[in-house]
Amino acid sequence: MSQISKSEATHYPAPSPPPHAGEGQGGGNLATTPTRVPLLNVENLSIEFRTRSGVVHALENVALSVFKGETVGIVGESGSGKSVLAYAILGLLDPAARVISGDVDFGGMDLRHATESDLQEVRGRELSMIFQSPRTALNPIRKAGRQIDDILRHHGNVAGPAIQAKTIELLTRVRIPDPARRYHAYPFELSGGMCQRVMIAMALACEPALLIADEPTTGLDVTTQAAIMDLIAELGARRHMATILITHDLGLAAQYCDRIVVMHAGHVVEVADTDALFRAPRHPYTARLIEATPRADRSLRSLASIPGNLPDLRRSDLPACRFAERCERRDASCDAPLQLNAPEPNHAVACWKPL
Amino acid sequence: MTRLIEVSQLVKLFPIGGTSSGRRAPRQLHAVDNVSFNIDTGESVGLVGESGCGKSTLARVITRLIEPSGGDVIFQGRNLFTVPVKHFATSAERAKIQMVFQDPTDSLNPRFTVFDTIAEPLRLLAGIRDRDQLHARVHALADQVGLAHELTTRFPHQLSGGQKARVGIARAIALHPKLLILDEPTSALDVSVQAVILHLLADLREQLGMSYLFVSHDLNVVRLLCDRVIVMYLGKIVESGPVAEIFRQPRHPYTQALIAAIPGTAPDKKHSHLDGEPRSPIDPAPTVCRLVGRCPIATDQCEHAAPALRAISAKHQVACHYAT
Repeated sequence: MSQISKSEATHYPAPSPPPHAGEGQGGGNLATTPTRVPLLNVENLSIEFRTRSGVVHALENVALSVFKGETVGIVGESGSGKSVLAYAILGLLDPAARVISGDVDFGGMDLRHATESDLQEVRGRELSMIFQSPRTALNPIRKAGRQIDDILRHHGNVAGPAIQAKTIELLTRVRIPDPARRYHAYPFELSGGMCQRVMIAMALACEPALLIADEPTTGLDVTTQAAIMDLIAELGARRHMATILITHDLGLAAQYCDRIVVMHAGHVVEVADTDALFRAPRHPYTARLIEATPRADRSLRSLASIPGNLPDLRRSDLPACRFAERCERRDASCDAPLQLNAPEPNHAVACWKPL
Repeated sequence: MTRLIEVSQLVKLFPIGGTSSGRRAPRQLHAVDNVSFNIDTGESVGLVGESGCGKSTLARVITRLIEPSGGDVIFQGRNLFTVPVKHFATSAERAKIQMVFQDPTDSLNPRFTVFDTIAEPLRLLAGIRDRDQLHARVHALADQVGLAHELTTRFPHQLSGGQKARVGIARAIALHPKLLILDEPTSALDVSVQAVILHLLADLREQLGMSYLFVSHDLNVVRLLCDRVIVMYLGKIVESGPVAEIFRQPRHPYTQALIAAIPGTAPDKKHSHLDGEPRSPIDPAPTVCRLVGRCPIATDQCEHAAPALRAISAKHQVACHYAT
């Protein structure tokens, strides 16, 4: 089956870097050149999982680039490969996964071929992650503060009694009330929002260059969600940190991201600046997704649904465009191998019949 | 419209860490604290609030999955709590109040096929024993919720999330309930599936003339499906009124923060925050407003007198000293 996916493999040109990416967040005085090097560059990444019930073609020719200081959202339904992509970047894939092709370049380092010990040096220091459910990601039998200490100790930024002081400072910065007391709390003694703040403190302990936040607010209340997201955005802006926000909530992505990558069934189907994506989506899937999201100015009547389901990724006869079977714009031209084209600058779409 | 259900002064306390020696009275967690509201026939009411505000407890007390500590629920003129718990499971009221649970996976028996799940209430409460009759009813219900007949022989693990949600709805409407309580029915679903289920719920309500009590923390979803919203905070109703009015002009500071916190597709980075953590729901001081400590407009008065729910227009009530 791997031969099939290889023969189908087409080269996705990396989307051209947006001119406003990176330092340009606050002002237009920085005339950026189009040849700027991204902080993270994923190219042509294909991943399979070998399972008892067949080979799952989880990612195919995925490209992603993230520039310094920008927030990139990855959106899509569950099962579209968002988390697999994050785990692949961090080198945390399940043993059943096989990377078929592709490169992951992070600040000049080849993460795909890096050794485990090299990866351990990078993870937590330069590249860190906020996991989906804070309660299960934290060690249940170790005090919250101690878990942050571990990161600081391992990466050697501080030593001795200064570690605890630094941890308490970090807890203060993520606005945990009464941090000196909460340092000694076990995860079960903290609320969900508080555990999430501990996770953020941990992820930001070594001031990483790139933060990957995988559904950081799923399961939290809207008020807590707003506080957590503002915190991530504020800390990101202050330290010039790049952020990848993985979410299925388009509203959240719209509010906090500079650029959005839309994934469907293991393909990147559209990449655009947030405003452009919501104003004029080009991929039929993106358009449907936006129309299916409830929001203030939408009535139930105008709420669209997306016909069908994600295709079974174990199939060996997956169509070139994995959305084709759910798409009303499909015709014969859709059988051609897919490419991520850029019909306009900073807006790439993988569709033969874009909107 | 006629009144379908009247909830008055409902209280649910959970004792916590009580001492068996009796040296100290057990502390009480006030999950639902003196809550009163009505639902009319055919009306759809949303119940919103943060996790831990008591909205699910309230739903469970009304369906008598847990017993109340005080108060009454009058359903079609009859006080539900006068029916002994033992007999409630087979009473006529049980059939008229049905619930769709939060997690479509956890709320289905993994060893029941779809057919068994939907047939269960028909067997137990409608007393249908005849096989052909059961088949006909189950298939009619499957049609009603858009579930293919061949899926009725499947087990829950063989279904997708959206299909499981449909099974849960089919089971709940099997007995033609008057009141359907929906506890976060779409929170475990993707937006694409959520949209389909929301359309289905709106259609079913129209066809069957049911009333809904829609419990959710997603205000955008509540807005789509409900006529009226009740906002709860730490066991108390803080605001209630018509959906459009509450969204256009929320009066309570908590409702304002809740609505401002909805991430919008129109990027607007300004919102009023509720800082700090909620007050403890364990033995709360009766004279302090529950929002004190997080409220941006709290004054001394709020610490000395808890505001009562008062009407500010015919249909709009709010529990705040400073709401106008």
